[in-house]
Amino acid sequence: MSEDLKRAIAALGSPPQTGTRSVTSDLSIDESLLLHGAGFEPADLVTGTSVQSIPYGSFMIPYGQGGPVEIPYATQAVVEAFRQSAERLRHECARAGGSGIVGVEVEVEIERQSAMVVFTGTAIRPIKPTQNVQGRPFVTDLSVRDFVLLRRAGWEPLDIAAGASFVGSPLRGLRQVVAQTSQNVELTNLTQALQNAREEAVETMQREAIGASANGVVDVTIMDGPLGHSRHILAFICFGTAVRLTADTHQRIEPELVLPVDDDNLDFEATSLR
Amino acid sequence: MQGNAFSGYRQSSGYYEQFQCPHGFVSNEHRLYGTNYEQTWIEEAWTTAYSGAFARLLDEAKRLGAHGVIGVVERTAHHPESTAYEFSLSGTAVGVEGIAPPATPFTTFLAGQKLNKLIEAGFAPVSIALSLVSIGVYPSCVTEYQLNGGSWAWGGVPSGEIDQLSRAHEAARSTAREYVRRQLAGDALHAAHLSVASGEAQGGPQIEATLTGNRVRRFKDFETIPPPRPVLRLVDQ
Repeated sequence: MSEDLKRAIAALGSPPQTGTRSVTSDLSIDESLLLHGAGFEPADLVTGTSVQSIPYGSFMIPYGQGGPVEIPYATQAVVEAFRQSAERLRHECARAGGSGIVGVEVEVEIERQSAMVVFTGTAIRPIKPTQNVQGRPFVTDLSVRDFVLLRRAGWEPLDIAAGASFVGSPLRGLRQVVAQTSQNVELTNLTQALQNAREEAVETMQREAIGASANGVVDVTIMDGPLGHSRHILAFICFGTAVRLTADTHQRIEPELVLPVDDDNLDFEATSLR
Repeated sequence: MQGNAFSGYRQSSGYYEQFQCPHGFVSNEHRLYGTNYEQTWIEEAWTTAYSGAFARLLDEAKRLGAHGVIGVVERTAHHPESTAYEFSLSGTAVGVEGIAPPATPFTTFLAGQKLNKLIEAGFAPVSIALSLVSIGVYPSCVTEYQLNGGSWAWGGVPSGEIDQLSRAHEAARSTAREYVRRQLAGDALHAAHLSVASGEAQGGPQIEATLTGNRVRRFKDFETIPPPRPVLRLVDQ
C-alpha cells in the first residue's frame, strides 16, 4: 500500500491523459473492480428524463359510478414516460460509446397533471473491442453485483420493462357508510380497485418484456397505494429488468455456505453494568 | 480544516431555449412563447462561494504541509432573504511519510477503506469535483395548459409529452455533467452523485441539479480480480 500511495502522490505532479473523453461514473470502487473482472469498464454517467401530461380532470370520477374505473390517460402517461426515458438513456449511452447501462436509479413522480420518470445510471463498455456487444444498448436497474451474477448464470439484461395502472374506486353510498360505521368490514371498493390496477399493470409489464424478446423480468419494484393528491385513485406501478437466457441452459451458481465471525458487537452501555 | 464563503447573485447568459405558441395571436393575455433559461447568476453565486471555500481549504492544508485532505464534507445553505449562498467545506488534512507534498494538496470525499481501495486499484485522488446548474422555466401557453389545465383549441388539454419541462430537466442534468467534465481535464470522475431539486419560482418551475464526485487519475493499470466466489451468509437478521 505505501508504494502505491507514493506512486499516487507522484502522479499528481504529472499531467492527466489528454485527447480522451473523461470517464464519469457513479459506481463505487468495489463495483468498478467487479465490472472490470467481468470484462467491462464504465464509460459515462447518463440520464434520461420524460415528463408526460395527464389531461385536466383525468382523476375525477363521475359521481354514482358503480364499479372501479380505469384512468387511461394516467396509465398511458406513465408507461410512455418509462419508454421515452429509456430511449433517451440509450441515446446518451450510444453517444458515449457504451454497450449498456447498469445500476439505473429510477425516479417516478406523479402529479395531478403530469407524470415524470427519470433514469440515471452508468453506461459501460467492454474492455476489449473484440468483446463488443453489438446492437441496442441494454438498460438494467440491477446493481453491478447482480449484473455480474446474472451473466455468470448465462443470462443477459435487455431492458427495463414497466407497467402502470390507475384505477378509481367508487365512493360508498351514504346508506353503506352508515351501515358499516361500527363494523370491521372489508372495503371491497378499494380491494377491487387495487386488484384491477395490479392485474393491468403486471400484464403491461409482461407485454413489454415479451416485446423485448425476454424470457422473464427480475428484481421487480412495486409502487402501489392511493395517490397523495387523489386518495380515491389507486395506483400500481411495477418495473424490473427484462432478461433473456443466452447460454444453452441456466448455469447454476451454487453458492458456498459461510459462517461469518465478524458479526457486529452487541451494543451495551457501560452505565448499565453499574 | 474548513473554508467558508458567501456570495450574491449576478446576471449573465447561458443555456436558453424558446418554445413558440402554435396559435398565433389570441389575446393580450395569451403567451406567445415560453423559455427555458439557465439562471447563471445563481450558478455564479454558488461557484464563487464554492471556489472561495475550496481555496481556503487548500491554503490551510498547504500551511500545514499536508499532502491532501480526505473525507471532505460539503454543506450548502441558501439564504433567499439575503440572496446569498453559504458554502462550507471541511475535511482532515493528512501527510505521507517519505515523499514531498505535491504543489497542490489532493482533496477527496473518500476516506478510510474506500480511499485505500481506490489507491490500491490504481487511482490517485486529485480533487473533489462539484457543479450546480439552475434552470428556470417560463411556460409557453401549451406547457401552461398541460401543467395547470385549461381549454385547448376547444378540444381539451393535449396529452403527451410536456416538451418544455422534459427539455429543462434534460438540460439541467446534462449541463451539470458538462461543467464537471470541464474540471476533469482528462481525468476520471469516480463515485458521482447527481441530485436534482425542483420547485416553483418567478412564475414557473425551477430545476437545480447538483453533481458531486471525486476527480481521480490513473497511475497504474487495474489488476483484474479473480472471479468472486458466490457465498450465502449464515447470519440471523
